[in-house]
Amino acid sequence: MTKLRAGRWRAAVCSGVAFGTLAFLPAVLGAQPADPCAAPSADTGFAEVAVNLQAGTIDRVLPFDVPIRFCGSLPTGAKRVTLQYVSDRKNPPQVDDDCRGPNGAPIAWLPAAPIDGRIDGTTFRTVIPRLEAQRFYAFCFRNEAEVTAEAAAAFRPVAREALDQGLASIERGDLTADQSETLRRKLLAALLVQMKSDQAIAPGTLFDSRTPHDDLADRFNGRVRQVLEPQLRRNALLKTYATLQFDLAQSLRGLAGDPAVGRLVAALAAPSDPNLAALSNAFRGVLDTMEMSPDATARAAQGLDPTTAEGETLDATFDPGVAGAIAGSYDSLAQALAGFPGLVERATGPGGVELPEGDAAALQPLAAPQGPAARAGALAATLASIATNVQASLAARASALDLLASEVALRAVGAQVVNASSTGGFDTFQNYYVSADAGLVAAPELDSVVSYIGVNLYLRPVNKNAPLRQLGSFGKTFSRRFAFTLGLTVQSIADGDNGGGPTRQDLFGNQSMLIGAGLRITDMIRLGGGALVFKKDDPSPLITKFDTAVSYYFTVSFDLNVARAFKGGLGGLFPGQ
Amino acid sequence: MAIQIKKNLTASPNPTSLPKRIEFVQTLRSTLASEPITLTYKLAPGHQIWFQDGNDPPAKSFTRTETVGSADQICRDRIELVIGKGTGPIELVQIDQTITDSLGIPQPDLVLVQIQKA
Repeated sequence: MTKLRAGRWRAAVCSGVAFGTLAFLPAVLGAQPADPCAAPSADTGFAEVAVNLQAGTIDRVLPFDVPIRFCGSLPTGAKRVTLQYVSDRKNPPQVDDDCRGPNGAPIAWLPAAPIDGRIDGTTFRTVIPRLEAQRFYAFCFRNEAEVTAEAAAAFRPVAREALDQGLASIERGDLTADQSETLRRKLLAALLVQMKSDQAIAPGTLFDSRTPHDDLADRFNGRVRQVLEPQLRRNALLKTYATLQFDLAQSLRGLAGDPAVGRLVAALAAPSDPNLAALSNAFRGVLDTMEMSPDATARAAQGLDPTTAEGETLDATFDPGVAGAIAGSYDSLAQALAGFPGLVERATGPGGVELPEGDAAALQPLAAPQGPAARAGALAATLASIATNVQASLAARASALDLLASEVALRAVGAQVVNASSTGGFDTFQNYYVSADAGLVAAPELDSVVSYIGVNLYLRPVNKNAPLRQLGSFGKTFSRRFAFTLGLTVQSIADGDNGGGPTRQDLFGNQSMLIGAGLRITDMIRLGGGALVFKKDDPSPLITKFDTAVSYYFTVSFDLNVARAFKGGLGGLFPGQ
Repeated sequence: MAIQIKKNLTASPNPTSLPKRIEFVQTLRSTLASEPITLTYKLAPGHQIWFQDGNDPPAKSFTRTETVGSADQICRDRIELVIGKGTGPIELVQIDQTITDSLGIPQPDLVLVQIQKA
């Protein structure tokens, strides 16, 4: 007895330990999180379908005529999921991994605007409209994820170049709303050309084609203004530059070509007199300018080094540094020319250069405040200002382009194709052609009303979960309402013995048969009519025989599931239910 | 004798809705101690944006005179921008400026004004 108790105790302890261990096991191993896409226990109002994007499968035959809610796990890193589909009556649509048809042919996906999925953590859900019965479907799920920092950095200069090219040809900064939208589309097209097939513009960003232009116009115009303003300023400056540098060259040639200036420059070219040498050194800049060859003068007027044949001109350069150097050259030239009045004053004054008679008088108007030398100096100073502004414009446009390019946000795009069917096998689909109902049958000729149960045979698949009024008008849903009916009465329609014996009997035992057709007038109520088949006594009193006979009937019936609900009341009408 | 643009032309407020009184600001310097200059502002002829100077009829250009010295000088010109006849709706408008010095040497500048819906 003690042994027995001890054994039981040990067994109890062991089983307790075992139970405790098992109960503890999930916590130790890590409890499996609930599957967010598991079939819900209650009716959600949608046909819930779980999608496995990786495998390209769904977990059931597609329901039809009812909205479907797909649920699946997001691909790693995805921030957005969209869905489109295509169907075929006979065969599964042929779609490659990138949602294209055979040989890369485009597919007319539905709907035209992809359906956005809602994202919850690592799960997405997408509701799609009603599908048709007995079709093969292919679903294209596209997802967008953040691009890597490396990919974003690699694309930025490419985007900048595309935007640079797209904006460079604009010659005026007057943009209407339509022109602004067209410009945004044009720039987007230029960007798309440069993007890889697995890249897309991030939603809501400046070049997102899905965002209406009106929503982005202010931001877009602001960014574009920052690029166009220095670009157009540079263009305007260069137009004036072309005129002024030509004007400067002419002025310099006019000065240098003046005979009096020529003799003055020659006298100071290599003076042996120390005083004249000092004078020559003091005004070396302007003297060099006056000694330049015609080619050197032209180069100096362009802001280039007159001593070499190299250098980029202001209208050709996009380098702010080059423009800055040109500005420096013009500034030096302007300072040199500013010395011309002083040179003339010193050279024609006491202790100056011995010049032929009349030269001093000839030099005076050239050195006057509004004279040719002053004008040439003013042109050089203005060109220095222009070159400085071109330099600033080039730098400002480059910065603005950097900023605009930084607005191009990419997403990495992936695609998964899921094949599915609303066809199913015979076992699945027979339920959509057959329904059961129960109700009352009235046979006026027999003066009899009894209950019946019946089977309705539709001529097309009918999903009774789809409310008829959501599927269209009565006419459009007629084929979903009409069905042939085959039924049996639940109660006997045989009459009693009124002294002359019974006049009618049931077709089978206590049941007669209904053959007819019916029409659902609501989702649950059906009206029908047809022939009630029973047995009728031969009218001849000499013959005791019951022959098969028919009489017309009318029915009103309910879906059998509804009938089941009437457990306490009408439920009694349907024995065995 | 010569004008140097030390700070380019700006417009304020920018962006703006119209009609609005706009102030143009620019920093200039002359190579002379004092130099009279003219500043001409122009809009393109076809579009719907116009200048309105006081009670004058809307115009596509206006001119101001200034005297600039050898130190940096901030020049301010104010005028109303209005919507009138012409193509539109305009969202970005270019205002061209020409500075002409005492020798008649021109120098351009410009500003783009962003027009927002009222």
